[in-house]
Amino acid sequence: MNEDEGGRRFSDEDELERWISSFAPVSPGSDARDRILEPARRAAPSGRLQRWWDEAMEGLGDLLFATRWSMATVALLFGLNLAVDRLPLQMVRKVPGGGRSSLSMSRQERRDLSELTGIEAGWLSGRLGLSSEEMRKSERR
Amino acid sequence: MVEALKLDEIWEAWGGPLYGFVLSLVGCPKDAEDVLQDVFLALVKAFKGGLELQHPRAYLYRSARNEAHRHLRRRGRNALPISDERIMLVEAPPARQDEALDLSRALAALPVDQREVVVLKLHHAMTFQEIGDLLDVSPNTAASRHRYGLEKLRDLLAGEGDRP
Repeated sequence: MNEDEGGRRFSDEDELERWISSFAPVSPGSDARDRILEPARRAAPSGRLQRWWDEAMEGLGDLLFATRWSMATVALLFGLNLAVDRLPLQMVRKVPGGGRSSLSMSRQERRDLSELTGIEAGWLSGRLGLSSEEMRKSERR
Repeated sequence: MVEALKLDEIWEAWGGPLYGFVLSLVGCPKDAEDVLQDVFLALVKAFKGGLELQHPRAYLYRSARNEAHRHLRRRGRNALPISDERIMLVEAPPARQDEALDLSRALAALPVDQREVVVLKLHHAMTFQEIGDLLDVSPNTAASRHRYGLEKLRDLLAGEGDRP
């Protein structure tokens, strides 16, 4: 680059490009950052609020997931009760000396009910109030 | 969604270059700050709308350019209004302040479409392909604008062009 009173003269565009590239873009002042970001910060949720929101959403997701299973269990038990109500009367009898109803079911009937409801037969028997003795009796039948 | 913390991270990575770019377009530090305020506000809104910032450089430069041009249209002029003769569009050590001032004045006298290409190429290390993508023009058009810009700068710096 030649410099005279008229100005700066470059031999070619490559030299001019190199000269321009030797300067840097202007940097913002140290306090410009806060001035520039302030409106965006006001519009954006704070980090703490964001974390609260994320956790709330995660908790809600867990709750929905858990509730879905709880509801499914309640629905299943409700359905099972309805099914028990509709069982033939002769299959339901009172346990002597007790107030609760019990079932007099053969192994096949319990297996059928288990298949129908998808519940394991042993657990089902216990749930329906069959005592170990009753189960043994019904198994013997 | 973006949080305030992420804004600071984005600023750390891109705030400086974006400021320099916007200042070279609008020519006034106060206006450059106003433009960048709008850029970051728009970014938060975009994040709230579900934006995922996969290519932050391209996104932010495009957003900054759009806001800067909107600002220039509102002002109703294409060239920089350099009323302040000391305005600096480039930075230099104290020993080169005169050179930096000459370059700033010459850049300010360029049409904005040439100025932005020269600045993006030489101060932001973008290729003509990247500049073309940003400006929605072909790489050849970007290269032409660069060439015309350099020719004009050469004349301006030699004192043969129209000084602002």
